[in-house]
Amino acid sequence: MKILLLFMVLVSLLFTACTKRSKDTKIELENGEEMILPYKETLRIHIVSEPPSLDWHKATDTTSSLITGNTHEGLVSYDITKEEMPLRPALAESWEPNKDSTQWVFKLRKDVKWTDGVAFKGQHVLDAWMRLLSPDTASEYAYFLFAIKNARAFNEGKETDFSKVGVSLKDDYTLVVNLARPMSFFPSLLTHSSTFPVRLDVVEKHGDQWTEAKNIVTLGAFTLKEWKHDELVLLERNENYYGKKPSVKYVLARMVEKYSTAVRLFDSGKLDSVHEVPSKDLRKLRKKPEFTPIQNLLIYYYGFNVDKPPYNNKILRRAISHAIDRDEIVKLLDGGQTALRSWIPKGLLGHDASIGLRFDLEKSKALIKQAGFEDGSKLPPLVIGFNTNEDHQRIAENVQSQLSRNLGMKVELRNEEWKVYLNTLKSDPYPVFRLGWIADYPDPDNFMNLMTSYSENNRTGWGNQEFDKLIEAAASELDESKRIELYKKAQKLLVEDEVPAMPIYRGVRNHLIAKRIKDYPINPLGYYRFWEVKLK
Amino acid sequence: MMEKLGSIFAWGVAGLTALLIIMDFFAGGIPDGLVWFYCFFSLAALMYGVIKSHALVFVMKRSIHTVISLFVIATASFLLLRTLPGGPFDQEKALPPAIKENIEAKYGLNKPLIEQYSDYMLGLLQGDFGQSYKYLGRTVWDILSDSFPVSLKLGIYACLIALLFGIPLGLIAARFHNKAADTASMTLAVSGVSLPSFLTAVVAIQFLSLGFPLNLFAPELVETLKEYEILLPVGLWETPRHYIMPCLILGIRPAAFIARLTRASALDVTQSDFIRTARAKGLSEQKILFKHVLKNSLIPVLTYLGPLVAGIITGSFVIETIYAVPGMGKHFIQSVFNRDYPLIMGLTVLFSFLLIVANLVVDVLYKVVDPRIEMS
Repeated sequence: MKILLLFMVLVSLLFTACTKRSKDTKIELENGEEMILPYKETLRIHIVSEPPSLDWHKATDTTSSLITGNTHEGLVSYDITKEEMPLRPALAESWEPNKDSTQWVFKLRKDVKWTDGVAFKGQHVLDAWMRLLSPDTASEYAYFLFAIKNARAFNEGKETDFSKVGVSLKDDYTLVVNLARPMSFFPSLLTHSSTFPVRLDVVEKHGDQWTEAKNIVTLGAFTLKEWKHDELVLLERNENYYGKKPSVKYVLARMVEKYSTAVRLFDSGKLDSVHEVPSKDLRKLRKKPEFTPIQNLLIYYYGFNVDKPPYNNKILRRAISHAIDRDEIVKLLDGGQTALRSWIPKGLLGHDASIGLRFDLEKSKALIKQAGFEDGSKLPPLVIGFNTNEDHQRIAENVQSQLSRNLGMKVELRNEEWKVYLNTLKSDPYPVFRLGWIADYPDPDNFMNLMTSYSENNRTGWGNQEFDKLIEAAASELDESKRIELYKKAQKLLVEDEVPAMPIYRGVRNHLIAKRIKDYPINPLGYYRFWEVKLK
Repeated sequence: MMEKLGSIFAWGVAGLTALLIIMDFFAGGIPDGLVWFYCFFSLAALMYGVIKSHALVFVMKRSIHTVISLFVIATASFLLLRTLPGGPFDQEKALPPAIKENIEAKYGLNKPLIEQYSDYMLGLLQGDFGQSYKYLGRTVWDILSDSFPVSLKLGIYACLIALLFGIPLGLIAARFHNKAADTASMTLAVSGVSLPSFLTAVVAIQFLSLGFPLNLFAPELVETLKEYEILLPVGLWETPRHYIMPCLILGIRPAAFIARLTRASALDVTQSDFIRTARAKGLSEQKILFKHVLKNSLIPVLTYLGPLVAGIITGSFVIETIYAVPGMGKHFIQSVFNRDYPLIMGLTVLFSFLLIVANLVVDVLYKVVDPRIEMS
């Protein structure tokens, strides 16, 4: 082996004899040409995989939306420089609801041009929403617009005439949206890439190939210069962008699947940022000056299958929630997560740290007695299910040991491969199962709606009319303080009284960001918009 | 004349291979035309081998078998895939039933299984592997044609490394049987077989890219070495310098295996009568080794080469992820996690095809190396 290694060192010496490395990146384009990306003008980021689709009506993953979020824009956007991420105008200059927030009028900008020079018009929004909702597109995120009148029926094929759907143009630059029910946060839905406008003529001309770099037409701060599948994506500054132009000329996104490889490339100066670092390397990486953690809008929770006795009894569910010390789990993970007892995480309207069941063994034991069991050891064995993953395993093992130590309970762990697990959740969830939720848009409704009786993502089987009503009332409430009160009530019902789910922790995302970068856009949503970035 | 043609082909293939490698490493790439020429030339050489060793009927029979095998494999994997729990569009965020129906209608997943199957097989007959369910808008053919060439290149270099190191190592061991050189090379071979590649890959990065152990006491020197590109890159697939480590690490295990095979079979051959005759004739040990022993001890290596080539050119998940090589290996694993049925099918069919063809080529080469071998 050593001889081999030595030999290869010699060979590599020969190959490279005294060529001094240039920091510029040289890449070969799809057409065979070479392109030099100057070090001082290129931000080199890491993405974990090939973007599954740059068709924003079809993409559902974070990698694709990272690219789309930089090349394209919607009617509304966030101010990611502020912590609470307020909405800011984008393609829409302003918007106004009617009194009961069932009708929204958007005034669109008139100075926006697509990358092929065509002027942006309201019709492009209408086209896009029709395409998103059309059953033929088979978009997974079509439900983003289900709040609009008749949108759901159109998607289900029950209504075939799009003009019946509650969206219309008053003139080229005034969009009127009629909703099926009151919704105070409708504009924040329009920050999501699935609602971005589209050029139907381009889609029709190129078919499935329309998202390739040579075909795609967008209007964001960057343009898609090159998409070398399975290898890299190159973005170039859009000189015709209507807003403030980015200060970097190129963004080079390299697909590196293994995080430890990405960290190595970062260390060797080939990447300027890594958006997530492997949890097992945290101890080492935390010492680096480039290490930058950010709390994100992710909650990790354990749900109960409330149809399965004895956990159909809410007193028993409360008892279990009281007996799990979240702080111990967070300490075990040691990755910067924070213990979570309420349902709405910090950073969102309606968050209240005082809500939730505290770690309290006395109370827990009393509740078990109240439920008719002598103590924890008399309870039937509890089965906890999770998808196969090192971190989920560690958490489940910790919960197992806590419950047996604190209450004398027997706990069994079951893990399954991801898609098998999803299938189990759909058909017959484990008595206790782990899941998480990441915000699609920064509004508490996104978290609270999850547990309504009609939510497809509520796998607990729990349904409560009072809760549903509170959520609906909060969704249509325009007065912020009233909204907060409603969410408080709903949260208390959810995690203190009924307890169909136990929040465990709020997630964190650990980045590595090179020292030469200023104003890297990290935010709780994980939306990376690179136009503020400056390079030294 | 016929003899001459044979050696023209043999040397031609060897020479062209060498030329292609040199061009790839030093001339910044191989022109497409040359690759095509190389393919045709090798094919012609192979055909010549087939005809000369009267194996044409055999090859044609086997070709029919190939088609049948592929059909069986495609059918079996199609059905097995549908028994996996979880579907391609199951995600953490559950979908409203109507949206799910739209998706299933679009991808034909709502049709009866038999209809899905016949659609797929009809497509396959026309060379259409279908659309990926994960990478929307890309066909399986697009994905394979983007990633296979990378894995192919990586695999070919790894194979060459395996042969270049494995055969001499085995011969040395056999020549100095039970001596220090034998022990040394077999120790190397055993460790090469038993060390997992995720370990050797990371260790190699430590030594060859990060300058271990120099980086412990002279970090500035290591920086200079990096500056002058003397140390190898930690990953990516851009220039020939990036090829060195992944190819080497991928080649270690087969090299070790080949070394052991060569040694065992060379020892066997050394004890046969005709070698004794050669010795009695007064031939030098060197001549015996290279002229008589080598050629005859290559048969087992050839047997191993068939599956090796097919396996190695379709990509290695471990090597490709550690070195961030944009090859096909990762699709073998991830397409299953994603339940990307058409991509799994495409990969399975391609892999089976390559495996069968590689074995067929090996069978023909047997006959070329040793005309006594009967083919049936």
